[in-house]
Amino acid sequence: MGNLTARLRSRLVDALPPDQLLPDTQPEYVRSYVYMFGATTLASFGLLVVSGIVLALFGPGWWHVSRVGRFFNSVHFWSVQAFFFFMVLHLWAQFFMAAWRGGRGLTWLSGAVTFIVSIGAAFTGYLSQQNFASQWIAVQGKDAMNAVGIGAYFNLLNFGQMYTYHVFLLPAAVAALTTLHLLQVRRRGVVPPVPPRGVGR
Amino acid sequence: MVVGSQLAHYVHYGILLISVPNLVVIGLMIAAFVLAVALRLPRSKDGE
Repeated sequence: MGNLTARLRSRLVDALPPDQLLPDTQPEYVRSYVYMFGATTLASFGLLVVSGIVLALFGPGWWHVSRVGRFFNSVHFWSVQAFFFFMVLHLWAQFFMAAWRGGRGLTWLSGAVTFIVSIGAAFTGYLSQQNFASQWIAVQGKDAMNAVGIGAYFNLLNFGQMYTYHVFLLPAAVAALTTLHLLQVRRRGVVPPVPPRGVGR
Repeated sequence: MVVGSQLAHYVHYGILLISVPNLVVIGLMIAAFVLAVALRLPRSKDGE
């Protein structure tokens, strides 16, 4: 194998065969509402990103005052409710079908880490509202950060720092982890249901 | 209007303390999960 680019291309094609990336058929067992929670979580994340971009374009002086701004503020708020609602249902479903089976450990791990990072993204969102609720949350939460020794690096009272975490660093991390998660699902396939007792697993 | 500015009612049972809105959401999630497991996804006319 020749140069670095060729080696990288070869490894990527081996790891992610193009015919597996966008399959147009799925196994029969995927025909179930339980298997939809991942997709609904992804749809909620898409709505979160779009409504968040609109909010970032116009700022708090718009989202707290104008009727359209309040509408987009509400869309963003309810999108995050839906995001966590469906993500936890997805977690329950994958937990009960032991979705880490069949070499799917990285799929499970990337999903779990995405969940944890999403909590940080949502928390910094509450701090970015620019209202009394966000001030209250920041003042109460700072003691927890100080107690675990990260208050100097993650200062809840520093709006600029929290806002940057919320609109760039953590959403970028969630998007990157979600991409990794989806690529793992494509590579390993959707986990089949747990077979009956006595049947090989 | 400020989201979350009004005090919620709380359910207090032993060491458990949870607001009614959070309890409702957990109930809805359990209901959605049970329905998703129990209900069959309808087939389209062409069997796809």
